[in-house]
Amino acid sequence: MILPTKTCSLSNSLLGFGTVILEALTSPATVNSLWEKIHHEEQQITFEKFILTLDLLYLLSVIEIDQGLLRRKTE
Amino acid sequence: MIKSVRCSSPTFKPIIFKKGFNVVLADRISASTDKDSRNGLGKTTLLTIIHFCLGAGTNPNTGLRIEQLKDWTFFLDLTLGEKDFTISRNTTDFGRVFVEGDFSGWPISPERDETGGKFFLKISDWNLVLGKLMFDLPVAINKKYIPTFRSLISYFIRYGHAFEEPFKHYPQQKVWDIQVNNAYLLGLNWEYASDFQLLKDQKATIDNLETASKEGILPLYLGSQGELEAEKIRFEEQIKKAEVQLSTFRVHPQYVDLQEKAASITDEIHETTNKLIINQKILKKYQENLVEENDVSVQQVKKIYSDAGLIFPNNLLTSLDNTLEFHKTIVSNRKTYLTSELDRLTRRIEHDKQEIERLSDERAKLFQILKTHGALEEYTLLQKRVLDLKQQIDTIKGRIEIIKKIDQGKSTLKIKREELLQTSRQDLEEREAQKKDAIRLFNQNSEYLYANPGILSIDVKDTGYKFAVEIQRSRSQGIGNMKIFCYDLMLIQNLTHAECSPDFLIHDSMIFDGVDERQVAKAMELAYQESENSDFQYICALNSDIIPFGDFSDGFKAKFDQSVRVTFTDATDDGGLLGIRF
Repeated sequence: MILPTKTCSLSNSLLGFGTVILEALTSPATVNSLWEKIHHEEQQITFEKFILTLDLLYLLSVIEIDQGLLRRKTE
Repeated sequence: MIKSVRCSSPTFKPIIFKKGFNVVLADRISASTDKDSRNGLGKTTLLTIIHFCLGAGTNPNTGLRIEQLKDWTFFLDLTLGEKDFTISRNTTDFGRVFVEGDFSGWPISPERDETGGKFFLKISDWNLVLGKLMFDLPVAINKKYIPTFRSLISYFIRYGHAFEEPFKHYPQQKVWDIQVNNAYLLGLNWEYASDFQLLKDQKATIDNLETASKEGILPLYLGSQGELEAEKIRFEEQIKKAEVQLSTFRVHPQYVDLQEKAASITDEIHETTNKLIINQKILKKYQENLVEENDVSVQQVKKIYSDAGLIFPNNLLTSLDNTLEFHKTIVSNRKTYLTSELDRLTRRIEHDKQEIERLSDERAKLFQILKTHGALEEYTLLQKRVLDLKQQIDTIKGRIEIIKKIDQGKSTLKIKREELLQTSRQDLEEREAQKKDAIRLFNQNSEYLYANPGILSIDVKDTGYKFAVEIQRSRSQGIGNMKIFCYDLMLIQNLTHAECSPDFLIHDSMIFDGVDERQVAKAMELAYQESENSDFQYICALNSDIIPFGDFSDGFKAKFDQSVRVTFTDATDDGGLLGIRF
């Protein structure tokens, strides 16, 4: 699921979604506003996939949450 | 009877007339055929002088008032009512006549002139006196169209343009004038002729009224009485309706404001409704979201984590616990968000619903007021309309009145005319004797001339008296003049039996113009015979060249010669009446 497989394309993989979400996260945003943004632009991302992608990005230390706002992790 | 004609000028040829037949002769030697009295020998001038002394009107610089006759005084000696008088009138002081004689008993007494002490009368008074003395015409008659002395006497002294037809003494004589004067002379009821003219006047007045009343009127008001009555009813109904509207009209002073308020409320309601709908849609979506976004199981997160561990080096990964912590946070964030949004929206929706209800109520109340009231402007307009309608009705009523008056006037006139016709016909029948006398005398006269009785017809027609003469010898020349001759003769013959009469008949030479010589001879003999027998004076002025000596009966030539009172000639400059040539 993370990586593209035979049955799952890159864009449908969590990694693919990860790039989309990262791109959308240009400035800090709440979960809800980010979800609204993504959901509006990419209908195929379900809420479940959205959450799991966020989890992935988090465990990869790409994003962090600070006072309710998600943002890209700064070095 | 005229006894003599004299003049203050020594050049004038005084003429002495006698009873019966008199001739004034004009002997023309030169070839001139000019009938202008100025170049003539004086025949017409003589008649003009007689008229002048008998009160004729004058105009400056014509007739006897020309420069050459300035300050001439003409004298007329005549017998009036068996008394002798001398009348004099001056061409410069032409406004009056001087009278010498016994004028006691005259209806108007002459005044005494301060210088000279002679007695005089104003011309208008003189005419009234003459009317009484010669024709028994009352001095004061209270009627518009009456016989006058000047008109009546003109039938007994014919000259100039008096030879068109027997009943006229000048060509433009008006119909009423002809009727009234001839009726008087024939002993018929002249007042009816006067009344016919009055009716004509009234008809003309009504006709003028009708024409004038139509001027400047809008076509709307030109209909017949019936049409106008219908219009009037129509307007009256409109007024009734409008008045009912007025009486039930309730003015609301802020009507216009209320209207605007109601409109703006409607806008508000629409806006709020739109918001409501949008919010309801969003609510629905969030509700769906809430259902859809059920909890992502922790197991899945763990799987992700372990999968990630396979791909990525472990030291890069955050700890599993932290990740799970993160996961919980973001999930609960979302949930919190959705629920609070749902809450908010639900409340908002409730609020909007109530707001809409409130606005609708408010608007309904306004509509209620608007429905039962009206704006002041509307009321004012309505009032104006009622006034307008009332004015129109007044105009129509006025017009109807005029039409009625005119119609009524016309019917009254018709009735009056019918009545007058009947009355005058009746009267004419009752005066059968007078009529017969006139007709008989006329017949006798024309029979003497033409061996054929002429026809004098006297009738009453729609327009009044109708007089006509006919002598059936139309091939004979100059018969028109002889008709006049017979008529005039009949008039004087008729009058000599009456109480008052001018006692003379004077004809200018034109009476014999174009007449057959035989008739001229007979006419003269008839005039001679009748004037001698019936005791009136006949004077005719003749041109010597038309005397039909050859047609005279035996012994008449001598009588004729004895009747010549004066002969004018153009052989010498002083051969004319006035004795001067100009």
